[in-house]
Amino acid sequence: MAEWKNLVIKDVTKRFDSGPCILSGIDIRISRGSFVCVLGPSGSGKSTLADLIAGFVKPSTGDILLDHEKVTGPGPDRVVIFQDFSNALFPWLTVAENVEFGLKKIIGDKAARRRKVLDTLGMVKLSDHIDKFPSELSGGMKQRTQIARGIVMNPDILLMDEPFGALDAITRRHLQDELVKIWEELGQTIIFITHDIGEALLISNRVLVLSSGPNAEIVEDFKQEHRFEDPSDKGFSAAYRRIENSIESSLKT
Amino acid sequence: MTAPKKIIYRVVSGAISVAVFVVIWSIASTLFNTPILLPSPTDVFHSAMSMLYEGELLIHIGSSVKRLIVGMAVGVPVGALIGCAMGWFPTVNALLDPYVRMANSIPAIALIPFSLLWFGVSEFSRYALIFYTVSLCVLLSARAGVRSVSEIQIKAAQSLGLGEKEMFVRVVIPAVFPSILSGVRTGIGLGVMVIVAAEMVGASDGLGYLIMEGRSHFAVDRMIIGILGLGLLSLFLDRSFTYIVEHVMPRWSTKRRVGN
Amino acid sequence: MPSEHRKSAHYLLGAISVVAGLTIWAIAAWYTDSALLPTPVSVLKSFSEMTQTGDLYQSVFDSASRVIIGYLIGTLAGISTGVILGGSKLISELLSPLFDFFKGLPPIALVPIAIMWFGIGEMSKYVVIAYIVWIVVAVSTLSGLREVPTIRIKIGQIMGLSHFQIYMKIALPTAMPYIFLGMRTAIGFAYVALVSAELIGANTGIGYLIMDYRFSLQTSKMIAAIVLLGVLGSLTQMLFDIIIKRTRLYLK
Repeated sequence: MAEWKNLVIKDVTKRFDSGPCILSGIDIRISRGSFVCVLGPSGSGKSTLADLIAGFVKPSTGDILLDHEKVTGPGPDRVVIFQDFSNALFPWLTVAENVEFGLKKIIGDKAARRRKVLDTLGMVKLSDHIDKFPSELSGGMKQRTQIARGIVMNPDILLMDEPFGALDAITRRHLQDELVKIWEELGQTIIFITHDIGEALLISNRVLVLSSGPNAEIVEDFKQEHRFEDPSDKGFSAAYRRIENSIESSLKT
Repeated sequence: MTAPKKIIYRVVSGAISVAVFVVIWSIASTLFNTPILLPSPTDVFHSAMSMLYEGELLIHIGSSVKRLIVGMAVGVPVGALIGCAMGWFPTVNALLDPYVRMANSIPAIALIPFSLLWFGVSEFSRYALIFYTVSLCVLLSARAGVRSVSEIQIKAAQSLGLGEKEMFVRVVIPAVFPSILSGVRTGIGLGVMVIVAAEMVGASDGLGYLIMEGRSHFAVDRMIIGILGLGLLSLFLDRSFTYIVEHVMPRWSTKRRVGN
Repeated sequence: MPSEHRKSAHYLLGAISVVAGLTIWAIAAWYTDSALLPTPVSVLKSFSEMTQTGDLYQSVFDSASRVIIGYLIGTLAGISTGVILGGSKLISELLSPLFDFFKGLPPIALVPIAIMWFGIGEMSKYVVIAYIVWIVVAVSTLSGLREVPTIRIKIGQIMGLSHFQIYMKIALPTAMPYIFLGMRTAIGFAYVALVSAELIGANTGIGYLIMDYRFSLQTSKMIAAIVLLGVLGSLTQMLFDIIIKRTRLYLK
């Protein structure tokens, strides 16, 4: 197994031009192999935080470090999975070709590349659909393709920006379970942005709560030893209420 | 609808359309009763058949199509290239935009006297007109296509490690390709129009010539044959282009993009 | 992003490019026969000469009245055709190949036969222009009526509207943006038809002027007339856009 890198967000603030400060004083350390959810009300700057980690935008102050290396732009060590799977996939490429897209630069040997692509598609249960075009897939299958395209790159961090927000409840539940299984198998860091408290508690072992913007900051860093398997688990509702309270109180101030 | 049902439906709707047209025409020609001005469908059909047998009709169609193809073969790549460059690089766009606006506001037909003046009554002057029309048309849709490449697509490719140059080749061009194809489709329509106009003003063959010659000989049947032939040709070119895009290269069909 | 800044940079580059273009044109014209390529200055001079004689105004007036009359008749016919045929999905779909055929038929092809049928006078021009406007507007009205979302029809049914009421109160307003888009496209087609008719058979109008200047080798005047034609076309389209915006009949 490769050695994944640790992510350190050091005292980051972000404002666009002369606009208000969106994020202020974000200071977190995410160690390799953790599954972290970033939770917050809409407009709290969750997506800005994701864009910062991905390298699409640069912090106004502070640094984002991958082990001791500064993040300067987007790259395949921090692959982003977008919510808008329809636009994120390339419609002129088949499922397999989409997954192969970024891999072309890494694995030169065609057969080896193909094998890796097929393996990964097996992990996301798309083996029967490899030659279909995105337009022929359901939303859940499109999002599986996008996840496969991300994990095939073997990134240090899989950065997921509300990936299941546009899916129906049942598909969503399935994909959450599958994602956890993939994570348990591969073990790299997943940063998962969501506004769904239940989802956060069910899939991750650490929940970061952002206060409402402007000047959003981390108001809660909730770590759990074990994930909740099910909402009926003991302690789930207590945890749920605790996070809900911290979001509520951040709204008032 | 299933595929065979769709075909039947198309054939039926086509047949009904033709029937409606022919019936209205027959009634009109009977009512006016001046065959010199409006011959009956059967008369026109007979002359069309004899022109077909003598090979005359095919020669005219062939010359028009040849001009169209030559003009497009040069116009499409040039238009696509400049259009993509204008869409991708703001500087290129700023430099060329005034000319594109200007060209776009003048109907290509108004430039026919110009091409006659510069290139004379020649094959080259017709090619030049088609080239101009088609390249402008493809340029506009390629530029619009580049501008509509979704930001998420670009971000996704960046996140997968693509640099600026690779992005252009592996994301922008494929993403724009359907727009270019739809520009080509519009270009075919406009090209047909321009070629006919050019043939009317100065040529010795082609469908436009056929119509004009019919007028000077007061042969309305030949004019009608030219007009209908032109309509059918343009419909045929349009339909076969769409068919090829959807069946031979489905990857680049706009249909793949919609609802996706 | 400082977009104001970028915009002015854009216009500056555009202006530089136009100046460069004019310079190249002037230099090229210097070395070429003025009948083939007159200088930009002589084109300007010709234009001001043209404005001093009544010919130009008469031509502009003639062309404008042809376009306006033909366009109005065509639009009226197009919308009526669309509304009448669009009421039945079956009829509109069965006849769609017929409309596709005529839409692909260049208006210029009809000019000779129109002259034969309606004479060389104004009537043949109105007919050719009205014809193409009619087809374009009818096709867009029909496609607009086909695109009405089923949900809206269902809402009408829930509210207890009759078939006719649903058509008038829900389907037609929904199709409005398509109709206006068709009317906008038709302006361009109307100009093409106008030029076609005037190039081939007319004794007045801007298209006739262009052809006439070509035969008399007054190339600078010919260029001035072509540019004038383009300007008039753009102005018409701009005017249409302004009216649509003012009346809040938004284009889709």
